[in-house]
Amino acid sequence: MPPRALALLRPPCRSLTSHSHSLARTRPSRTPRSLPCHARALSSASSDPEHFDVVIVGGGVAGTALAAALAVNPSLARTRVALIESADLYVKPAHTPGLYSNRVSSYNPSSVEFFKRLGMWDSLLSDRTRAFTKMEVWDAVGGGRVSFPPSSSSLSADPIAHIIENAAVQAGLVDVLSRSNPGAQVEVFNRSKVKAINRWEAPQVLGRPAGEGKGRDFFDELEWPEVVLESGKRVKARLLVGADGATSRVRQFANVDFFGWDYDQRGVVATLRVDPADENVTAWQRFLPTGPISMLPLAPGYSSMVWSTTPALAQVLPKLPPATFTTLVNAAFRNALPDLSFLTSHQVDLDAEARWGRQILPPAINWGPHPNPPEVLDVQEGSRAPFPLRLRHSQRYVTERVALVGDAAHLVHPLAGLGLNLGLGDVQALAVVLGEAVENGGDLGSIHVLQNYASSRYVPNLLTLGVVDAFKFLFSTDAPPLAWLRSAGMDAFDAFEPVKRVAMRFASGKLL
Amino acid sequence: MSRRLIRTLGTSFSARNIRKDALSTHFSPAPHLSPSESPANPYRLHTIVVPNPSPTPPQPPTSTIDPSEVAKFSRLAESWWDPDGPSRLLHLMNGARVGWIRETVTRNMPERLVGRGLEGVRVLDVGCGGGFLSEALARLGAHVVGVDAARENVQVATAHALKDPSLRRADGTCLIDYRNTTAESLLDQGEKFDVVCAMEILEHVADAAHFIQMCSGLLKPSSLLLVSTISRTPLSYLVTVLLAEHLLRFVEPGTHDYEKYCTPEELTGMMAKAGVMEVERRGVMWNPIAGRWEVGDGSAWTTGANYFMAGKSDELGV
Repeated sequence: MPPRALALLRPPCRSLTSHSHSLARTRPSRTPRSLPCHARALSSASSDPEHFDVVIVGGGVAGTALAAALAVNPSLARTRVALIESADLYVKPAHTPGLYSNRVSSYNPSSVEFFKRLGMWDSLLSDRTRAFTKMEVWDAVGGGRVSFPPSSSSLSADPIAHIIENAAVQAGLVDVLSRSNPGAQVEVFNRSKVKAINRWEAPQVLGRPAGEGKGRDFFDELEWPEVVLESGKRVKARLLVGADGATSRVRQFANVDFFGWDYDQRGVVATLRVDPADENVTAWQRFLPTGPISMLPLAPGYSSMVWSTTPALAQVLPKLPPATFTTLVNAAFRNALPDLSFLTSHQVDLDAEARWGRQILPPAINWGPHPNPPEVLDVQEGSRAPFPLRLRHSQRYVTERVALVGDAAHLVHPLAGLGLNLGLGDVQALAVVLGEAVENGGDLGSIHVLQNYASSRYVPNLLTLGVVDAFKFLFSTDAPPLAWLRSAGMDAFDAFEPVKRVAMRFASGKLL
Repeated sequence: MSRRLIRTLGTSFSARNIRKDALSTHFSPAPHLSPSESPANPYRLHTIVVPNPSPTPPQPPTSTIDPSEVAKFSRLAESWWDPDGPSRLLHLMNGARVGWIRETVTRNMPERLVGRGLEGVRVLDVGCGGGFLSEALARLGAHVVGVDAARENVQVATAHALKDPSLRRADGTCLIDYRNTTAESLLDQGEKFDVVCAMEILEHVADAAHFIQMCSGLLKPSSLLLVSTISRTPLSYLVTVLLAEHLLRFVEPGTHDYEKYCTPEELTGMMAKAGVMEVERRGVMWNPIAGRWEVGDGSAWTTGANYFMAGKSDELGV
């Protein structure tokens, strides 16, 4: 059952939270798509719009990474890029020893290679970046289990992925922008909110050859999307890139539908303090019928958790006393399912009940020869936060003079830790397409150029979304036949190394 | 059914799903749309009406122009820049064409390039159509003269280029020198170029040998004649006429005339007669899976249908 493996390979990430600022700011009022001529005359009196070849709306990880990728590409030396961010792009990450942000993501080898090409990987290699080399995924219902790497494999030394705080990655990307680069000149509009995005529509010119005698003013106003900032500044975009997250205004401006559904689960993130005796290089994921719970290593003694569960429990978890929460997390990783249901549905002495449940299980059923996740000791104060779990996909990634990347184009269930990696894949593909277009004299906003980006990303992303969704569905049931088949499949998969290697390549972003 | 399938293979999902109204069909509605038929909203989506002052195209002065071909492409004028229109494959081919032109010029006359891209060379685009080759070459820094026998094409090309600030001078005029004229007239006027591009036009002229002779006459000494055309083989008939025109309708039936196709050997001969020696030959193939044109080597296998050929005039000029 090779496809089953595909989504198991990456631990969850919190890419959904990386655009929280844009989530907060956008409840857009319908902006007019056209204004009559007199309105144009009034607004143009304030200032003439500035022209840019690429205008990126949204300075999250995806948007900033795109700006950085364009800046290092020598083919784009004459390209002018604007990066518009509503929050402060230059805020330094706190880096307090022993405290970790709950906004962390897992970066697969493809993303790491991208960071290396940007020349920022070395600066990310600190004691706050954690590689994990092992992965344990198991099923709470049937007991099926998959371990990575395969025991005899030569892959064993390679990191499966790196866990890094989003703020650190963001700061690294901003550093790239502030260097002197061989490629595009990037102008940052920091703490600049977008007021409106317009596309001027040309009045019909009947009985007069287009362009004759009208000169510059007439054509300036044609067709290029115009972003109006709250400062009154207007920028015109040869290509407008929406990197502005799930509620993308650029996507709404381009009239692109965002299809999908909300899952019947919510996620809870938290930063955990775990047993410091554990070397902590393993990602743990246990599939419960209510959703997967995962633990990712941050440093010796620290892990990050994401627990996808019922909306009711997700509401309660962040408010529980730290000790109770810790007990429940340990139980979710270690206790038998009936125990866990009992613990989460009754007013009981959680701690005593959980210990009793673990004690009465015979060792073979409890853990047997399998490795144990480190015991959770505590939860970092203020690190617990719920977030919605959704699947969305844009009807298309490009229209004339508009391209969408990252969460603006797709949202995926975090169970495989793919979200941000997909976005970085978009960014790399778009940067390559734009570089080639400039070398061939192309118009960067032309649909013929942009289609190359869309065709390289749309189907692979859709496939990834589909595989992850299928996993979510497959593991959401405890009906005996399916649960039994599922666990048998996991065991069969675990024993079949060639298939595991293919799955590994998929997870590292190198198969599609 | 097969057409749908191939389009699915050949284009991205997004390309197929693009709604017409979300795109700028720059030159619709057609000029025949009278004001009374036009929609109530005068600020309709991106509508420029390019008027058509002369319903009949001007008669070209000399013989290489085929009047029926001029009329055919005049009808196409409005759709040159329609992303899903009949020029779609040509748009997609543009990247491959320009990439090859840039490399060929860099390889064969590096001494004339003064900066990035094609800066420093004077290029003639014969049969510029809607101007997508001219625009790309101008963006690369070449000084471009684009000529077309159909007046509508020149109007469309000029109007389109003017919409791009990088193709406009400060005074609002077009950076590209578009002219409604013919290669013959340029020859009479004594114009000379570093590069003459005759892309996708040889198969539409009445007398290919004479046309090549004329284009060669426009070259400075040691300058390049670049031709992109279709060979006359069973494969090219299958691909460009049967498949592209009749089965898949990528282009309008009647776009191509198989009898007018030249094989690479014939073209090499015509060039040699005109004093231009072949320096490069490359096959070009449409890859329906990747949805893009790919430039192959010059072997007989790759030049069976579309191919590029470069010839160089001798040091004394033609």
